[in-house]
Amino acid sequence: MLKISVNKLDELFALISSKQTLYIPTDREAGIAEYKKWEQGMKLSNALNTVRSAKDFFFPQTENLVDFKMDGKNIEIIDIREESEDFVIFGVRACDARSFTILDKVFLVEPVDSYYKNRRDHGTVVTMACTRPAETCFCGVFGIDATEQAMLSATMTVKTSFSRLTTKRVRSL
Amino acid sequence: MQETMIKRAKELLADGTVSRVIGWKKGEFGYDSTPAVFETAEELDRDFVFDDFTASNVSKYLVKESRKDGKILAFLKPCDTYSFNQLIKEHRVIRENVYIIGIPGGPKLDVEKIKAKGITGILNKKNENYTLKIETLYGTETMMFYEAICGKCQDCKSKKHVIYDELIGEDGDVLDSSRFDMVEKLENMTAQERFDFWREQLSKCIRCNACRNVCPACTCEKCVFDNPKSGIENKAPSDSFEENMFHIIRAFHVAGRCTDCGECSRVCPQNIPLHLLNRKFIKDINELYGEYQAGADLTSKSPLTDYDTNDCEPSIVHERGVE
Ligand code: SF4
Ligand code: SF4
Ligand code: SF4
Repeated sequence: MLKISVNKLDELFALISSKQTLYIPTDREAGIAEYKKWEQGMKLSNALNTVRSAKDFFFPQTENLVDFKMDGKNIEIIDIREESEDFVIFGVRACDARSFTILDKVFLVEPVDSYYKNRRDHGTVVTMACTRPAETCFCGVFGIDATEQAMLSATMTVKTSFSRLTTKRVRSL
Repeated sequence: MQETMIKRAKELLADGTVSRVIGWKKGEFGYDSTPAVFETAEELDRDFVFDDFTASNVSKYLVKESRKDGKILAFLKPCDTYSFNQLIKEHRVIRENVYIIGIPGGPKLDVEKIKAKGITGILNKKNENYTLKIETLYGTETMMFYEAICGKCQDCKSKKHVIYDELIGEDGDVLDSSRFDMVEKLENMTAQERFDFWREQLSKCIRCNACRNVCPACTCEKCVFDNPKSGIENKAPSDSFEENMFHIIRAFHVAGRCTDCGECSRVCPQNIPLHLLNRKFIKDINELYGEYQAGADLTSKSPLTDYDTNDCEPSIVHERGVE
């Protein structure tokens, strides 16, 4: 287990974002958090969860699938898929992280959804343990461990945050 | 109040005046009551609730409920009676099938305002002399009652019941509210500032459709946003244009019919001040066609579907559009 102090979190964010694009949950207004690309000075939200779930990173509500080019009676179909860049999502809650495994069961079996897979292959999820679940939380009921679920999970206490590194991909970060 | 209401509901069920009652049902926590229909005295005793969190407006449910067999008792707050009246005018509810008891209005509370204070794990609350003692999973927290008042109650337009068969408690008056203050502020902005304000707000929309689904003016059998043939059907906006259009189209559809019941803003999970869009229409209607309050009565004609030689000319759009 590695430990870093909470006030060094900014340095960690800077380090990660020097290598890959980093997204963290940040407050848009009191009580309403959303994922945003990390920039110097951005504050990690204290909200339990974002209004739009982290699912948007892998399976957005809408996306362009193909482009068409019409030339008289000819229709050219243009594949607009590009290799996704590597990115890190920090601060995903265990419930959201578990949902990815459910999405995987749909999109990563034959026929594989290559759009989804592309983003999944390039995304690293860092979960954040819940130290103050809400009255509406359901992790217990679904047998989800609110402190784990991902390749890398972090627990935040008042002074320190702990990170547990478990896979090679994470170590390379 | 709750006990008086339950008692009266039981009497009306027992003497056969009504066969069902619409009101609010206790939720899992102390703040999440929902509209519900009750059929027996036992159900009323067990689940009926009327408290600081019963802000929701039950009038829209009567579109379906008033078409079922038998009469239904509806408990309506002053603002809810405006919605009901408007629905009668639009031939959406069957008046004869509803027995209305007018009940006092708010101020009601909004749990989101409590959460915005950083209070989490909320289970229940007590109101002690206008200080809220909030029981949470993590101990008791306190905050001032007025800080948790729901947005629509802050700008209450009327304490008067515009339609009822009987009243519990006293009737009030139409209020001199400050509800157009923020609209005026927006009007005084430059076009760019106003555009930026609305983009900032509307870009938050997750298109959950809650605002439309709760709106008593949105009772179309097939909404344009659900109809593939309308040309504007969509479930999720794919760009900022569609994001804006959903709200602009909806505001136009309810113009002249919106009673300013405040339900749209109350249910929005993203705190988008949707009421400001509708209030702009109301304010313009008042200024251009004379004072008009949708739902206030059953006979007046809506200024947007009526013609009068004093009506403004279409050129008003250009005149008012200039910076
Ligand atoms: S638009 Fe909003 S304020 Fe107007 S009637 Fe519908 S829900 Fe009520
Ligand atoms: S948005 Fe328009 S079409 Fe849809 S329900 Fe409301 S009034 Fe009807
Ligand atoms: S309730 Fe709010 S978030 Fe939902 S569709 Fe309406 S404006 Fe958008």
